[in-house]
Amino acid sequence: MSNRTDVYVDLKGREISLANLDERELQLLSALESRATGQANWIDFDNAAMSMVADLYDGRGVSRNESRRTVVYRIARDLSGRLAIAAGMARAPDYRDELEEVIRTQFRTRRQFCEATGLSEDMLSHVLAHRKHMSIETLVDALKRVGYELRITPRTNGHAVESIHLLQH
Amino acid sequence: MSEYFLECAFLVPIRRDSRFSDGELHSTAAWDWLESELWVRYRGRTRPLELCDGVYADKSGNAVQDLSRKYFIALREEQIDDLRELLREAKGVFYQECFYLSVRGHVEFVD
Repeated sequence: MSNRTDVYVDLKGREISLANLDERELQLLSALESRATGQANWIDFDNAAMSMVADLYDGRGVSRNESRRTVVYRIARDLSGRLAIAAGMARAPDYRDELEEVIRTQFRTRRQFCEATGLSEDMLSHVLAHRKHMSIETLVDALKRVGYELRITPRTNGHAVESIHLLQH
Repeated sequence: MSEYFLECAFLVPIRRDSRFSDGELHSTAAWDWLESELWVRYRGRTRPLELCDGVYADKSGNAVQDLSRKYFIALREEQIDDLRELLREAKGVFYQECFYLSVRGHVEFVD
C-alpha cells in the first residue's frame, strides 16, 4: 500500500490508480481496507470481500467478466493475498508464477510457449514446479522473443516479493 | 416450481503436491486464478472459516496428510461437467494429482 491516497501499490509493486473511482467504489475500498487491517482471518475476509464486490457490480449490471478487471476487485484480491501470506497460508508470487500466468493467458499450451521462446519443455517443467531456477540470460532471451522483459521493482510493505517482474512491451 | 441446485463441494490443499512440485504453499496468484474462475463461472460460493485437516492414501498407497480449503457451490446438474473441467485445469495450477469432489454426497476424484 502507498502513502499517496490516489494510488494503491499491490504485492507485485504495481501502482493501481484510484483516480477514476466513483464515491461508492472508494467507500467500498475503504471498507475492505478496514476489514483487512481489523482482522487476520483470510477466509473470512475473502468471503466478505467477494460478497461486497459482487453486491456493488452485480447491482450495477456489470458482467462478472468485466467486474473481475475492475480496480476494486483487483485490490480486494490483493488484500486477500496479503492476509493469506500473513497467516502463513500462501506465499507471494515470484517470477515463476508470473511466467506461468503469461503461459496460461497468452498461449494455448506450454508446448506452444516453448516453441515461441526456444525453451525446452523439460526445463520449463522443472522451473514451473519450483525444482530449478532459470538463468537470467535464458529468461531474458526467452521473454524477449514473446514481447516481455524483466524489470526490477522495490519490495512492497515488508512482504517478501521477488523483485523481478514481467512487463509486456 | 422453484429451480433446484445440487450441492457440490471440493477441496483444495494449501500446498503443492511434493511428488509433482516442491510441496510448498501456493502463491497468491494460484488462489487468485481459482477465485477469478469461480467468480465468472458461478454466481456464488461459500467457504467454511476453518481449513480441513485430511489424511488419505495416494495412488501408491502412501499415507498423505494435508490441510485444504473447502469450497461449496450450488450448481444445476448441467453445470457439473464444467466444474469437473475447471478442477482438471486446476490440477496444473495447484500441482495436484487429483481433486476431491463431492456432488450431493457422492464423492469422486477428478484427475
